[in-house]
Amino acid sequence: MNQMLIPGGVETLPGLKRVESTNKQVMGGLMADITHAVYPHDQIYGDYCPIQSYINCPPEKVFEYMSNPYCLLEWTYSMRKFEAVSGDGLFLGKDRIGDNTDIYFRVKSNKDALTVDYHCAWDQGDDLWMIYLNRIVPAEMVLKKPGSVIFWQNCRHAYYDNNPYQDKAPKGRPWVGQFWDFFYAGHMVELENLKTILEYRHLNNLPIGPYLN
Amino acid sequence: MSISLIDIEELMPEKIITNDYFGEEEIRRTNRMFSGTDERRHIGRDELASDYLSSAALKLIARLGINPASDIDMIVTNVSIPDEPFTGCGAVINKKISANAKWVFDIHNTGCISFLYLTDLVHTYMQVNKVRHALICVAQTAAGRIFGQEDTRQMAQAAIPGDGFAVVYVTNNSERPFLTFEFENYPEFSEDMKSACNGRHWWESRESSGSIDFNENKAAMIIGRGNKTVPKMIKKVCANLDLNHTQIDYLITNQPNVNFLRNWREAISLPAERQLHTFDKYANLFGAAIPVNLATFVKNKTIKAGDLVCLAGFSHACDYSAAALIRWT
Repeated sequence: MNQMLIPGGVETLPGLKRVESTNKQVMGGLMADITHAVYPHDQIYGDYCPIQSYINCPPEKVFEYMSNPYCLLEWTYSMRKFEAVSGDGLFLGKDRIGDNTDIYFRVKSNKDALTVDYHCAWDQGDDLWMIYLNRIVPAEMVLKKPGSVIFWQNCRHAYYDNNPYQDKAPKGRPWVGQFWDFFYAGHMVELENLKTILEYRHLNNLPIGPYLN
Repeated sequence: MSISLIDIEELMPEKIITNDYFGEEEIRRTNRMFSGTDERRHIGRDELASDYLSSAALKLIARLGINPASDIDMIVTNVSIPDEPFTGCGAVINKKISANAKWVFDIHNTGCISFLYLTDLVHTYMQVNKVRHALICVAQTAAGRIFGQEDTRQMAQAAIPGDGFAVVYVTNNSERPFLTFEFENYPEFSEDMKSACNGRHWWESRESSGSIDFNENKAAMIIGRGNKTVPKMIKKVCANLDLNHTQIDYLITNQPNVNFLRNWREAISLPAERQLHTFDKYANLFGAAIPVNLATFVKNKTIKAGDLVCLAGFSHACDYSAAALIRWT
């Protein structure tokens, strides 16, 4: 059956570019306009920080590893000394990026969707607003080769610019939002750590970890 | 009415300081914010910015065959660490070169982009017919005066500043006009660069030398601001003349470190050979970078008649930024 759209359903919305309203020549010009040789850092990473990488390790192993809260002890640059705060998955650790900085976090994963999200916050654990979104995709599906592709996204939550929990922050400690312009760089370094660990263990047939005492 | 850059002269301190003079070698080797220099110049302890600037001005006067008593109506200066805290050095230059400028201003702010702000100030006086000819003097003295001290030279950041001086003679005619300017200031960033004196105020007596508080926690933000504002200002001046930024022949900016130089060049897709800087041998010249580099590359004939030169930069923690275009004739 040839499913048709209802007349007037979308055509009247201003600003839509669809083949009916925007011919290929106009669309071509628009594409050329939008395509630049270089993009300012701020334009790409100003409000969102998306990064991605190929990892030569099967998706289910990557998921198993990333969904274990203690893996963050291994591949993050500065999250250390974890303890479970409650029975429902809330953890407390130290973020050694800041002097004497508590970081609370919770791992929310979905095995079917292969998503592993880290919900975090500095200084308090009631409002985990700093959210690291990760999606693992079978590389076989998107790259026609074994392994995984990881998409890691952060959004510039309003609290990066204004800390509403200043009363809980150690005096004089810089705020995490001050480092937003380094998030792309910092996260790329950490993603490289993750890749190195997973590929080494997978290629050497070692348990995937994390390796806890 | 146009403001024309008639002639330009740079003068560098004789004292060459090599990298081994500074401490924290490991940091300087591994952190690109503190590397990229082979040497830099330091003003001597008993030397004066007003002497350097006067010497450069006298060279210009001789070369142009002008009469300092009648052909200089205005002197404006920016000296990063002034010879004297109260009186500035514009008046002293006026005296040392036997000039008789009626308007003399020592502008203390706008740091690394002060040359363009000073030019705009002179231009404004020209537009109301108060000034026909002026000397614009920019001096960077913070390297020797702050980072040449025994205690401060041990810091990695001490290797980055270098001293230098430049003087520009401008006239209100259309001989070699500045084609367009753009200026922006950001009050919200005005308190992000401070002096550091171990808990004392800079005017109070203390046992250690003062320095600049290079706050690592603010580094990400300042890099982000500089990466954003300088390309934006370059594109604005180009748009003013209906030009694409790829039509710039040479780009000269302030030169805070190798990363900013790379980022600004990349941001406007400029080949490396069309970015003119002296970072490796003169280091961070603060406000003097733009006129010193312009003078250096005019003198060595890199910049030739017909070249479109873009001058751009930002100051301090990004409180001021500006750009200008000039076609060399």
